[in-house]
Amino acid sequence: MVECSPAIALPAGILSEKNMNAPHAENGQEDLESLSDHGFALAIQLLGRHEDAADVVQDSLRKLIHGGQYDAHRGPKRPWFLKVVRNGALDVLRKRKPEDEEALTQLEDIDPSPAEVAEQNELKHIIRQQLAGMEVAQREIVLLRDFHNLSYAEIAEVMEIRAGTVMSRLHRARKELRQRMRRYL
Amino acid sequence: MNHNCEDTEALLSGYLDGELTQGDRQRVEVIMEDCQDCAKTFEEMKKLRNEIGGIQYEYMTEAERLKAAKDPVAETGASLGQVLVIGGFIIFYGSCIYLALKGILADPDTPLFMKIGLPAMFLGFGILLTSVIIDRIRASKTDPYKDVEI
Repeated sequence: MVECSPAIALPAGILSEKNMNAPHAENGQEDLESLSDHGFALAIQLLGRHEDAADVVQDSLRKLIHGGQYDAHRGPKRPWFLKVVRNGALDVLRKRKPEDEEALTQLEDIDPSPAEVAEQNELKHIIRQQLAGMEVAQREIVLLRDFHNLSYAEIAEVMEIRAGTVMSRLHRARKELRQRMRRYL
Repeated sequence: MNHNCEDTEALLSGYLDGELTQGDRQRVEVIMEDCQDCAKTFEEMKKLRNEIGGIQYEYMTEAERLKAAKDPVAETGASLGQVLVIGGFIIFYGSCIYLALKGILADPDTPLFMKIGLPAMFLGFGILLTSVIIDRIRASKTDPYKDVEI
């Protein structure tokens, strides 16, 4: 059987019991483990490569722990941290060679045959593949809302966009995903 | 209720997330009661959202997490300190041996076995120490368990 792409590989380190959608602490007291899990998930979702994601999250954690850049009065930690991770991930994407990106996208975008789908019987797996094939901007807004469980205001903070545009962007991204998933729903 | 299904989709998305005003919420509820297409679209959105929430992504390893927790300034300081201590020790140790050997070898009363044996002993000790240090440095770079806490 062909091994999964870096973006969809699930190494032994996966912890399925963790609840990534748990509401986050409002007073900025969220623990580092939870923050790094969320940050790493976002980095993997944007970059698709474990090593790149780990580097980005390590840099972001250093900014949080040693850099003193987080101001607790400005809101909960998770959106701030995800914003730092996102910016780091986008920097990596900008520096990535086009051929690397193409290779990753090709691996991520492989459409499973109906037999494979039946064999895997796993809608989540297909959604993950389809998300990986979407544009970064569309992918991230869907995941920030539906995976990381952020409110529209928090998404606006993470993506550094106006709160009023979140709904329309999210709608367009969801529409794109629904079109990609039409044959599986 | 008169509506355009295409235009309603954005509202459905906001309704799903609980981000609509009360007026829009009521409007969407009325539309979904009347329009099967919109109700179906909403169910698809809901299903996708639930599935996305359950997707499994891998996590950082403990070693990667610990690496991130280390203060880069303190780490650099510790490395610099180590270099200075080791460098200073080598210079001090080398100077002592040099001075001792110089005195012993220059003294005509020193027996031959000491003139040969002592330099050989110091040289051998130096080689042993160097090989142990090199071995330790190699091991610390390749040890996969170096960050594991016991």
